[in-house]
Amino acid sequence: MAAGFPSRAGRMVLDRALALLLVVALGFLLPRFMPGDPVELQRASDLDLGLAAAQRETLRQEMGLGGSLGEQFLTYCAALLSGDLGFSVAHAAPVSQVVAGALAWTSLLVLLAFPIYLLIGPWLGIESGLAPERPLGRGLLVGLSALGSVPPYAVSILLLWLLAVAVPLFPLGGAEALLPPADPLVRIAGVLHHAALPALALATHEIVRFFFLSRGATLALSLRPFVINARARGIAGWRLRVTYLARSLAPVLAGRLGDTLAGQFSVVLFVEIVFSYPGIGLVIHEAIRARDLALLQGAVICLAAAILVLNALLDGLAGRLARRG
Amino acid sequence: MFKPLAGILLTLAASLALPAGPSALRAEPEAPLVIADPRGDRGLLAPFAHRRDGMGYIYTGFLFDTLVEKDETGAFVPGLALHWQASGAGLVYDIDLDPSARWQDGQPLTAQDVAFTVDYLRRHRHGFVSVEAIGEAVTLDEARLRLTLTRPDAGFVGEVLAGMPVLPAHVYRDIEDPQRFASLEAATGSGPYRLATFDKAQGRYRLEAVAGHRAGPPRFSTVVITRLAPEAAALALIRGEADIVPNLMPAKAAEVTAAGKLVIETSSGHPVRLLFNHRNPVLAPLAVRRALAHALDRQALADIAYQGHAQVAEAGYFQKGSRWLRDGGLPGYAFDPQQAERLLTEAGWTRDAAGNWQTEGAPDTLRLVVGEDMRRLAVTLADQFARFGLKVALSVLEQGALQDRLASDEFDLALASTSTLGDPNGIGRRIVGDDWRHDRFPGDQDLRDLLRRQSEALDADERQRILWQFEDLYLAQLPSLMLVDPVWMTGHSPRVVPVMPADGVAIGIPSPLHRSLFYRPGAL
Repeated sequence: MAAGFPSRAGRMVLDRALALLLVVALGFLLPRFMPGDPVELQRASDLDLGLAAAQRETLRQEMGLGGSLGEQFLTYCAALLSGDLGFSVAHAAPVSQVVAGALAWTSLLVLLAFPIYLLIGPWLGIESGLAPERPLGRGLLVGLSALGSVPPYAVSILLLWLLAVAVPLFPLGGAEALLPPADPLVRIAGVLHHAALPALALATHEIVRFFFLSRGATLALSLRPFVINARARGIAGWRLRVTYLARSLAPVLAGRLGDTLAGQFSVVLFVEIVFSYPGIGLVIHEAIRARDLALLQGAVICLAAAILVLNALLDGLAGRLARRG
Repeated sequence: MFKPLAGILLTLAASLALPAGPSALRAEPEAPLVIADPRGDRGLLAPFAHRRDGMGYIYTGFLFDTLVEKDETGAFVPGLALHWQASGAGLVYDIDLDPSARWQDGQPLTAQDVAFTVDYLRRHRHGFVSVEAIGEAVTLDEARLRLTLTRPDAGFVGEVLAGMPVLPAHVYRDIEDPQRFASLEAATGSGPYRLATFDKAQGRYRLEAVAGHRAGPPRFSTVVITRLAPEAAALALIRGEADIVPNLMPAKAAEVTAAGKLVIETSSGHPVRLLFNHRNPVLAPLAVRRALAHALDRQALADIAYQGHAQVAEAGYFQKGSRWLRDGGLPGYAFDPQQAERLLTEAGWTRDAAGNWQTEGAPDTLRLVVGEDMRRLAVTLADQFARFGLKVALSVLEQGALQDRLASDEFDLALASTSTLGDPNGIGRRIVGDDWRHDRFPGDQDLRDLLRRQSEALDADERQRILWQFEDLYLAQLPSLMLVDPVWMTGHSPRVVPVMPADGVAIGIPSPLHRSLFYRPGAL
């Protein structure tokens, strides 16, 4: 087993590297097949006086669109290997700077959503699985089935209306107060206050997923001898749920986390639009609209790299938990 | 049994669910002026780095003074230049600068800075201002310079003197690629505000008043511009968290006024036009374009597609809000299906058995392409054409696909909205230029002569007469058909009174975010 570990780790790294390479290629190619001239679409207003031919060509070069497709790809890869993600003409800033600023906010949402769905989903699933025929178990099943059928965009709007408009407990949007306070602790509290509702919206669908996963597993575990014995010995409540059920569920849940995180970064696009949250979703959305190819490529690659790294870590964790039993 | 978990969740909820409201914002002794912009990030507010749209230019104008400004009525008044005098048949402009003008870093602003700006703009393209007309910029002393033009230019004051952001030579002298000069230093101007912070990710700017500005301190010591989604921006105004919401959603106007806030409505100056593909021989005959114009009920278009938030556009080129609009406007193409029928018949069109119009050698369906923002108008328009017997295939496209179809001439009809404000020098570019956004009308020599003559007419009355002749020709030849002029709403608190000057802000941007929000231009 000890001898197998390096090769397993090596394969994992190789798989992820190949996946990243594929993302780089797709991230480079796909935007170039979108209709429209990226140079022309930089001119966001008809007041713009237009470009002379030479200026147009210069801008085309700056946007990485000079030469053949193959030359463009080689230039892009060479720059990428030297750590240069390119320059966003629309933002007048290096892509790395724009992406880093946005990715930080998205990461905060994803991190805050993480404990919400990881605690609430399995907790409710275990409750429903332990008492599938009782009102609580059935009520949870019906309620969460209904919640799962609502698209993330609609959930975000519903939460915004309910908790920021009808009952204004949370801010309407943005990542922090218009005039952030000087006290760092107060400022952090303000940032969390702003992130709470988008994080809840982001977590909602995963709560449902983890609920069903945990409910099904609990139903199966309830028939296993070690759980039957434990219940016969009078073990119940917190101990039964945590020591016997949740621990057994851990590898299954960890195995699903990799997929969940990738999904979170997709759903976050809708959440960020609804809550005007300044994350990577909004950046990608605007980059597509403005045909900001450099930014689009950079954002997709950074996002993919982040997901692949997290995925690898979670895969490793799931494997360890499974081997531990 | 679940007390620990429940306790954690309750504590988390209690710590996060703080009441949201304006209290945090209004904690400062003097509340800042807050502009909630639904479109958000306009880039760094420096002349070469801001986003290439009107609002980016306006916000940058809060930081960068121009030689000449517009007051609330649209009249040109002193800016950095106390006086400007044209002579030599309009070829020479002598400019006296305000000696009290300073850059925001404390350096004095001199005639050398203005001459440097002219030279710099000649070498580095600025999206909105061209200095092509200037042959020479010579400094006479620290506060005086002479600009010599290569040809008379009736729009010189409006387009260049009132449009050109003057650059600090000591900051920009060594900058070879200003589009990539995006540090806060690039935003060093001579305007009433300086850029204190710019949070790119959040699309948020904090501007601070310049104490020693030549026109005195502006009204608000701090201005915050922030990105908020349209609904959130309206609610922020209602709750007192924002002072100005440009492009307020019309659906929110009643709610805003009920909350004691104010809403001003202005003609957009961006009429929606029906573009004809002039490269398509089917649409080349004037009679066909006129027939299409008579087949449309423009009042119904405004009523149905905009539900009262638009008016029928002026038939000529100039729209409400333009100083060049003649009293009473021009009689346009009235809704007259019989006349449309006569014209099409004269052009050789016939009706098929089903009553639909057809012509030899042409597909029986016209391709109408529009952007997503004009879907409702396009559907209404296609419906009107269908009732008249003209089959229209409507394509609603996202911006890139629309640009592709227009640039490659894969359309017959299109809807476009572009500004008709600003100096009339821009008209030629919009009508006979080759930009895919515009009419791309071949135009006859008469039309081109009128466009040239108006740009050289230094006498305002003469220019007015020429422009009216141009309008008559525009209406007769129909490069495009003016349909409706949407009404734009701006919500604001009673603390400020947004004003849109005649012909728009600066170079013709239809927005009420004029500098009179902060101070009275020219009141020195």
